[in-house]
Amino acid sequence: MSARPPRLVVGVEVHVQLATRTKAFCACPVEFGAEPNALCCPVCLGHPGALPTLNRGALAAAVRAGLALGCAVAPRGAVRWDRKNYFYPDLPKGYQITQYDHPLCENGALALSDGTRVRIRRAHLEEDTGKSSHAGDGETLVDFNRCGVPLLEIVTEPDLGSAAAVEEYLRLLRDRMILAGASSCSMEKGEMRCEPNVSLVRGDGSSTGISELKNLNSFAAVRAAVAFEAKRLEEGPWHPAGAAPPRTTYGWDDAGGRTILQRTKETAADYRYFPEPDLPDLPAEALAGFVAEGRAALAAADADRSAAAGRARAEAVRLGLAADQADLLLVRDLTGGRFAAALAAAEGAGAPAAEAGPALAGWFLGPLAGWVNGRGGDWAALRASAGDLAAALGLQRTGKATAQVVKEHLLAGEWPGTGGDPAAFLAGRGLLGGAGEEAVRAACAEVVAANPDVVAKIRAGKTAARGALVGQVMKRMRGTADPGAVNRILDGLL
Amino acid sequence: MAGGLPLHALPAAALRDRIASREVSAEEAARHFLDRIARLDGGIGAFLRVDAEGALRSARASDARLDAGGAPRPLEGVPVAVKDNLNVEGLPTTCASRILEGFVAPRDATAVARLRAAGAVILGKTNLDEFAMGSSTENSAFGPTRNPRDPSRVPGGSSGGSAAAVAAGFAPLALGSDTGGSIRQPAALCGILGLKPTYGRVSRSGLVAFGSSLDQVGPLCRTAADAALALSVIAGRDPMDATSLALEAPAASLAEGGLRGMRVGVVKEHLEGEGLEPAVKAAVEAAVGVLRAGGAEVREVSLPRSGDGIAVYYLVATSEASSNLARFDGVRYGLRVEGRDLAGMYEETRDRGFGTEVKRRILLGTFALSAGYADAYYQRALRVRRLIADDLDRAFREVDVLVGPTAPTVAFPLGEKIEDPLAMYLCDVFAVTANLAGIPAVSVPCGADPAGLPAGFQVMAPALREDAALRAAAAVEAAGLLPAALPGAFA
Ligand SMILES: [Zn+2]
Repeated sequence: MSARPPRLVVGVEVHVQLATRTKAFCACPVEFGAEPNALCCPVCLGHPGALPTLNRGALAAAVRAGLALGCAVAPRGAVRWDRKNYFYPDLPKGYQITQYDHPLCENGALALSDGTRVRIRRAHLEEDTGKSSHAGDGETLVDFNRCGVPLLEIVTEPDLGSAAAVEEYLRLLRDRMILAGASSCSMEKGEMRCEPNVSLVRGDGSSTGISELKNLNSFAAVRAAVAFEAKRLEEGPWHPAGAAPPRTTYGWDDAGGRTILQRTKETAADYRYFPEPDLPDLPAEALAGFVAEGRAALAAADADRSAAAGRARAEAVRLGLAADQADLLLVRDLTGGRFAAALAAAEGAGAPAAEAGPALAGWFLGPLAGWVNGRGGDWAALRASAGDLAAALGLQRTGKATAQVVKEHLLAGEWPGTGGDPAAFLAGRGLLGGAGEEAVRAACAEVVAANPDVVAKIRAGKTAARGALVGQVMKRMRGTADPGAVNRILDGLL
Repeated sequence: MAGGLPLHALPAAALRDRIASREVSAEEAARHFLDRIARLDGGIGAFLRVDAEGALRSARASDARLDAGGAPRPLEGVPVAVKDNLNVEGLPTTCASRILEGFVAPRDATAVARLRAAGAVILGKTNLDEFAMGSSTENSAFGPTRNPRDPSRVPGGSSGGSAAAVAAGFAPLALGSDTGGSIRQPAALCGILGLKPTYGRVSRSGLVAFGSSLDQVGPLCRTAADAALALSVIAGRDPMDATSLALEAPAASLAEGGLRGMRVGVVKEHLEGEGLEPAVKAAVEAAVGVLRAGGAEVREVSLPRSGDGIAVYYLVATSEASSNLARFDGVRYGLRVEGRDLAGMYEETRDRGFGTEVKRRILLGTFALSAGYADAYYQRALRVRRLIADDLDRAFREVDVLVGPTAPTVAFPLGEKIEDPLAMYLCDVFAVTANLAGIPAVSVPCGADPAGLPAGFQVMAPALREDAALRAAAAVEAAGLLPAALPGAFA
């Protein structure tokens, strides 16, 4: 064994769904969640006599994406289309239109925060396949809605050395794609599919096989899967330097937190690539317009983003937000403008910025983010309006509802999905108006009586134990008691 | 009224004029041809399906249009037969294969839609070699087509049904497709005219692909003027086919203008080729004599790489076909034969669905594209294909058209070559050159052997110069080297 630990080597293949209204080679609309097989035509179903025609919007998006990754566009002088031939029920023509040896984009790079330069070997345009699902009775069903949707396959060199670096690269890649307007990269909708190729290399050049990881549906899953596989590979087997290491496909079992062997590639599949005769080559001159437009669009997006970042910095100072809060809510605008709208409504209702800003930031990045993530991650699910949220903040500011009630009963329950007057919602559940002095006093007395040992400790000088009594009182009062009042009454009783 | 020629002996343009001038109604014309097909096609087998109802409906629409004072369109009321590898909306497209069983075309091929828009009446779908793979129309899952000149002989192929339909007077005009001679060779063997346009002239949308970089839709008819008329209707840029050229359709007068100043090159390798029947050679020489006498300047030209044409063609066409025919897998449409599992379903479906010749070509093409062989076969074929095109470019610097025989033989008896694929492939030895180079070529009748079997004269022209090819063909046609009358039983 080598003395030094083996080095982790990861390259990543990412398929990004390009943001177009229609498919890559026909006029069918691209939509998520439509009825199965509602979005197809003779071309994407591979009918006899149907021919592909290139969607120039897909080409433009792919060029912008390549430029955003620092790639050269059409460095070989022409863009060519190829057929990748294989049989599968979700592949209607028996071949996929892709780009084999003349990819659209080559030789890009993204830099990670520690200075690591992740080289991007190539990015090429291709069409997606349909989606097979296996019914319980042994039947296979195929939905062709996705078939023919334009994808950009982005392949890095094996330049990544840790699970964290892989995740950072993917987040950066997504950010660039969104900036370029090339893809919205929603992993939940399958618009960004990541396949890391993981292996370990020792000082003497010997290496493990290469594990190709699939079925990774979130950044957390990517990070966990790479870390798991890196650990698993330490057991070997090891292959001497210079030997071509075997490639094996593993799926990720998110629930079980482990990789599962799918198949070993004994011989490389023979896809019989050849130039697609139905689509003429695109000479570099034909792409010049796309490149010029792409550069202009990227420059404008960069300028917009810098300006937005400047505005966000000033706004963060005015609101007293932490840097990371300002980045998420104002620069990257995670909530799609909902934070800013709620803030404006709250300020309009008289809340000072320095109070409303941090409070609403805490809501949006805390309970509301949790609520949205529990419902597919789409902020559109949030139906409580800016005015509703400003009203909720008003209840808290005027002491009509405690911060705890708002957080636990209003923002984490069903209210975000319905919206409406928060006062009415809480009143209907007996949670509004704060508890009266009498009720708090009674609860305090009950808690003191029920915990003689704790009371004894406190009286002996262990004041830290008093928190336990406060907590019990709050629990009995379902969060409606004002913590200041609870403390005052307990002081009196003790 | 012009002469006493029956409707079925008229060229398309003349029939259209009679309909346009109301001498005869479109419905009468349609009924005339439908009656002939019903009476006579039993012995020929030109049609796989006749759409009498659809034809009468469009004929009546033509009459109604004229009744209402509408201007007659270029093919108003002209009955047309369509090769059954072109989609006609609402009719099955079979490609003469079992594998497409049950498939009904959801829309018209572009060429068919343009014919309809010009007033043509679609009579039905004609027989072919399965997926256009063959030179005799014997490779049809639904039985062979016979040559109207001699029903014991083949009509050529793969557009044998369309060629026989025109030769028998079942339609004045038919559409075919030509991947390696499939319009011209049957036109030659049936004694009619066939035009393969420049690659990209006519949209391939709705044509079931065989060799996508070679396939081209074109007309089979009786005169060069009809071919020009048909081309002016079906050609032109189509957004549904990315390889269609961004050009307007040429004028219907394309075949006019005579031979003045035309430089004609006789292809040495084609006229001295092994296997060229003496009667065909003599007929071709007679046609060359016609061109010379008509004022053309004739010289001999060499295409040194002609001998490689067939090998290159069979590698390129089969490679593309192996991929194009992968979609016939039993999953979405057509025949499905259940198997033990998914792979079994594919195997059973394709085994029962495809005929021997189609399987042979899929295997050849799959092999030619396979890792480890692609360099020696497919890639090398592409390089030689470029050299063949270079040969033609050089030749066309000296001459305006290149001429020679369309096929080495006259029509041969059914069954003669069906067990010998190589002999069958050599039927297209002169024809494939034009497909490999993407240039236009015409076959025009230039005489017959002592038994009365026609020989075809091929005229090739540079890309987009269908006019030159058709003018030369018109001059040969005008010399009347083949008696114009319809053969025996079909007069
Ligand atoms: Zn479609």
